[in-house]
Amino acid sequence: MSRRALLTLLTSAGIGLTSGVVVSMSRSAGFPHEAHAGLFPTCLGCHAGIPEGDEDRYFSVEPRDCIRCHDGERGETVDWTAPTRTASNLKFVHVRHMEAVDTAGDEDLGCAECHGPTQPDQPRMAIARAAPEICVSCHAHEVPEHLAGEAVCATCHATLAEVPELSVTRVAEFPQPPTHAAESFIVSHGEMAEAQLESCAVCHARESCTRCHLNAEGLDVIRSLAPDQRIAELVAGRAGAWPEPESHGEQGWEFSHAERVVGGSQSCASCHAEPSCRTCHGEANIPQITALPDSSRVGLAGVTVPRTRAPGHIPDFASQHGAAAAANLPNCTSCHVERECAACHEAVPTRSAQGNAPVSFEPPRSGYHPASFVLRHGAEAFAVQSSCADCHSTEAFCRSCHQNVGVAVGVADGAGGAFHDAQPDWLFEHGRAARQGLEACTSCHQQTSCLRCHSAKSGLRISPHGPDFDPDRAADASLQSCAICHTARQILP
Amino acid sequence: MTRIPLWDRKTTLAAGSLSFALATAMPLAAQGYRAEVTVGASYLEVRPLVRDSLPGDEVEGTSLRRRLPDGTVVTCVQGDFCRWFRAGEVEPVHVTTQEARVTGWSGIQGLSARVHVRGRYGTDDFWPQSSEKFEAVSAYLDYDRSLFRARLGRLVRRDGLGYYNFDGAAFLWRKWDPLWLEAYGGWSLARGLNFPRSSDLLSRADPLAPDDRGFILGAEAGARIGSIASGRVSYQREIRTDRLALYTERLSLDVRAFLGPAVVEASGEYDFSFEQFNELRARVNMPVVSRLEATAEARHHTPFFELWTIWGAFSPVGFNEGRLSLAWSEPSLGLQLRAGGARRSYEETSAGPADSGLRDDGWRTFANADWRGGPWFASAGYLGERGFGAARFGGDLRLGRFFAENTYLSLRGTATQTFGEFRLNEQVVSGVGIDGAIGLGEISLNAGGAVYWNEAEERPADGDWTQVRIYGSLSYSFGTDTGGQR
Repeated sequence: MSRRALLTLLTSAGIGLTSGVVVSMSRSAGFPHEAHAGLFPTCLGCHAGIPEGDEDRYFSVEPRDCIRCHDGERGETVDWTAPTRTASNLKFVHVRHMEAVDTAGDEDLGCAECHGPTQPDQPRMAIARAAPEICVSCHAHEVPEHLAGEAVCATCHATLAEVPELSVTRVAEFPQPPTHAAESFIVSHGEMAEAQLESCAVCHARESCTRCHLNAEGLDVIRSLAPDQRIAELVAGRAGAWPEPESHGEQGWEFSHAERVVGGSQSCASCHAEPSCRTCHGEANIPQITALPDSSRVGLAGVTVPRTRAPGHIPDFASQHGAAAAANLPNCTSCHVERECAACHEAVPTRSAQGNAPVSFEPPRSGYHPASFVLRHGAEAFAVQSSCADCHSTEAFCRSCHQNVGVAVGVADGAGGAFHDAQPDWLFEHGRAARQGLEACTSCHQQTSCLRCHSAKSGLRISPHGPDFDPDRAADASLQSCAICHTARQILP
Repeated sequence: MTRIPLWDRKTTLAAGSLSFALATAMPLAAQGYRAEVTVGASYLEVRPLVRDSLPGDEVEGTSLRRRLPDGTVVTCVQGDFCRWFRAGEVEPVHVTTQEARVTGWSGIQGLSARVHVRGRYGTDDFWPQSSEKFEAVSAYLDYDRSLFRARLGRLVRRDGLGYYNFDGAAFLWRKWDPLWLEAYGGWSLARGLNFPRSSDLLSRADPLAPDDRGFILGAEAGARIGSIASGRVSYQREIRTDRLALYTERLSLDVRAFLGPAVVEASGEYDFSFEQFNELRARVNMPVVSRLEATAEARHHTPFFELWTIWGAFSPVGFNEGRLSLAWSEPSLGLQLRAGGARRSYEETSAGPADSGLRDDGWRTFANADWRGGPWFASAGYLGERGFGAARFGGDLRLGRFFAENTYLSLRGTATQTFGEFRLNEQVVSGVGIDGAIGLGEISLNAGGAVYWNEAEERPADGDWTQVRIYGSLSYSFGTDTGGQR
């Protein structure tokens, strides 16, 4: 069996690596092994306890052994003490590792395999701590380096929960794998966490996740991480980070995102609370939105969607949305409810048209028309900027008011209304204006006003029909209308 | 004055639906109701124009158009009186409306009832329709399943032909998503009235109003291509119930698409009776550079009249209009600026003297700025509109502050110069006002008021024209919300 296969076996079996040993030696002074190369033919002379698993004899020499040479005469005196044990999250235990290697029947792993020279030209006693790269070269499928993305941390390291002795300072010094610095990591780390949560737990606790994840309570992978006061201290006061995923920058995302969350908004809930959606969707009762976390309860605001004009809403949309509403693009009911339409379209003088969807730069408004519109609406009515008749009955609303305020007064008795008081010869000039702005004319004049002259039955019998008028077509549509001005003899064949 | 009966068939329909909605609101799963009651009141001061006169020999001059000592322009007929219009006494107008909207969910999946009724009380109809006692805007049963939706009762529709209601049924079929089909029919109502064409409301306003209400039949088809494009075509026919004549027969087509960064719209309304397009519109909106977008629009408009009137036979002409606007917005600043203009030209009328001096074109220019920063908001706008019948040039200013999400207070000012091409009414109307809202959970209060005054160039007698406008409304929502009011 090859060494690689052996160690892979060891890893999978967890032999020798799951003891939970969480101590290591301090690196304080260090022993100058190379200087003593001629004195110590074997490692076990000083480290006799290691193959036996006797921790008390990991260092089987004492300072008095040094004095045999460093007595001040043969050699200068030295002040050496064996390293003390400090807390560590390393799971390595020499004796178990050796036993596992023996059991596997692989070649003998001597001390130098991990601690000896790493280069051919180095002296025999070029001793060093076992570099993590040596461990991962076998245990983590020969990844190129200790902190590589493919490395399985939990193979060699205990989780934070298993090492309560580690100080906050030590935890804070944990190196950050380069993979974590990648821009895409924050989006993709979820899958990694689900695949090897124990590895994440080497450095992270639940507080690492709840700093950003609004839906932490609902995610099994986060719930399975233990809370840890040390991590809580380290993340305290640090704002959540919610970088924009690539998908959100796709063209049309503002419309297509609804299709992405049809299956559930759990992935959105990592970053978004209900208010994120309400900025655009107003009060609309959408299950995917109401299923999002309550930001006040979880204590995280999540992504704040900036106030802007709603997607697909072109400028001046309030008065120009007819085609959009008819085509229903974007889907109106995603953000609006019926009563919002009614607030403007049903002409009642007192109501609020302040929309439920506050996505607008525009200030709140009361009603469709701006204040004082009734005092100055003439020009807009002539220009037919919007269809007045969609909401107002020309006869019962416009005409009634115009008569009451005196603009159309006197029309019925032929005295002329105030609206034409600047044109005494209006009667002879009105034809062109009437054809250009007949909608405006009807807001004051009854049909009978015109029939005094424009009837084939009586009066001046002046034809109002234009050159393109098709009497047959008109008769087909409504013979009754023809009969208002014409006798049966005139219109029937 | 003839009054609409307090209780009639419509009332029965509305009350029945309301009762159904409430009666079925048992505390079972998925059962419930949601209601909103709004009481609103307005007070307006209006100064009607009244005709005044003096004997011609008491007014200096001999021409047709003379001036009184205070500058008022009067029209004099030789040997007769000089006449003019001046502001009359203040006519106080108050209008009170009560609105109730109820949506009741039956507990049967997809079945709900929706009612929107309105009561009015006002000052003798000086403000139009203020004294109508009761009207049902909508009252219908709704059965909505994934493949279809059926509605029965007084329905409100919104499509390319406008926003209207009728009494009848509608059936929407959407099995072949993304295609949907809908058919509807019933008894039509007059647009903007909530009453049939044969109602007293219309006959009081026009002696030639129909004596028969109408049937309405319609169908529409729509399709959507993902979130990229969507369109709808609607056909509608309204006919007298005695089937002696049509009221309307129209078709509309509306298409909207997102083509890259551009929003493209096209819509049209076609009148079969006169074989003409009443509305044709094409619009493109797209970004020009960062934060700056442009909208270009081409439009043709020809007036539409129902066939119970004679107006369509007067051969009204339409106009063609081009419009261009730019908008710049910076969300981080909460600022949006818009500016643009439009020009329209009318088609040949073949009527009246060629030298009448009547404009056959018109133009518009506008500029707006809207800002929201923290709790503060402000807006300023200018509009100039010059047409053949009237013109106005003026602007508005507004500054306000939010105190809570739905609670704000704002101050506003306005000044507009208006011209009537046919009238002696060059004047500047100015005003200041205040408005605000308070939102307290299910209760919301909106209120405001303004005072306006004017300076009339040709009618100094209108100087004392000051008018006050006050409005307020109180809304209360209650009940459960098991599915929203869509």
